[in-house]
Amino acid sequence: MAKTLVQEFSKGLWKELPPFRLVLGLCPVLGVTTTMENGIGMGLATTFVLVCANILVSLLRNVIPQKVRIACFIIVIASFVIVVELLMQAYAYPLFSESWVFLFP
Amino acid sequence: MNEMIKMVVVLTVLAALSGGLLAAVRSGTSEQIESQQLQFVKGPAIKEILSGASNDPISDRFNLMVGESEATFFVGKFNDKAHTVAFEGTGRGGYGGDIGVMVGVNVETDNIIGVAVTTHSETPGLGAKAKTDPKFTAQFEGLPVTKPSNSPKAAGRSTPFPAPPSPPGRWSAALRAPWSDIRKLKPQIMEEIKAFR
Repeated sequence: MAKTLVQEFSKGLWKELPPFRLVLGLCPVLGVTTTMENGIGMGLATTFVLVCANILVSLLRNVIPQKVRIACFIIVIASFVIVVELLMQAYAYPLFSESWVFLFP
Repeated sequence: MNEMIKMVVVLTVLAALSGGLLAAVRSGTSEQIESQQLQFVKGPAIKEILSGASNDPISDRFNLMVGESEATFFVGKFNDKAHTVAFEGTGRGGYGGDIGVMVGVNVETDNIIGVAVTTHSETPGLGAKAKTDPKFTAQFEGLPVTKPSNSPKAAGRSTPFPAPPSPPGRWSAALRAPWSDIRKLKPQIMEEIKAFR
């Protein structure tokens, strides 16, 4: 059965919540979200990387050959992670110093 | 064959674009990052080491080449005499990578007046306690920088390092690099410091 748009966008809120239901990224979540500021900061950083990487991958999906798909995804995602790292260092240094060891190892 | 060429071209273009983007962001943020590091990392360490200085050590500073990189030396004036400098050295030998250490040295007596860990990648709650536990940095105060083998142990002091698995000897070894830099650069430091007297 095809999922509705609401189901698609709401599944990440609980049904497929990455850290607690899919057990993905549990370590950085537990390590970083010790205060509300850190939790919000990590959420914004993760959202930025996910949105930018998904948009770029969607735009390039017909150009990228199947055999180098994973390598290309790694380049795209890693680039955005480093962009976030540099921006956090430049504009949110206290947040960066609290979370870098978990987010940018 | 065509697919092979396409794979090479796509990966090359993507890697080049990624490199270009990162280089642009890096150069665009480098000044801001330096200012943030001075405010949040080096600033507190400098103020801790040079506490009681009559000047503002963060504004009274000069740069010297340490090996292939440039290091900033912060000058502390005590009793109207500029005889103390603090600078950040990089110690190699930490378990998680390089250790950034701010070292304060009285260049007239060649004694270490204070040490503060600025950056490290040690395990939070274990090796990372070296940054927050004053017992660790206190053991280096008063040691001479002129002796290559200086260490708290050699000076007959106990080494109350807070936690395993980073033994004191390993941290002391990592901290020895800045001592060595100070010894090598002393003539240049003495020359530069004259401007602040």
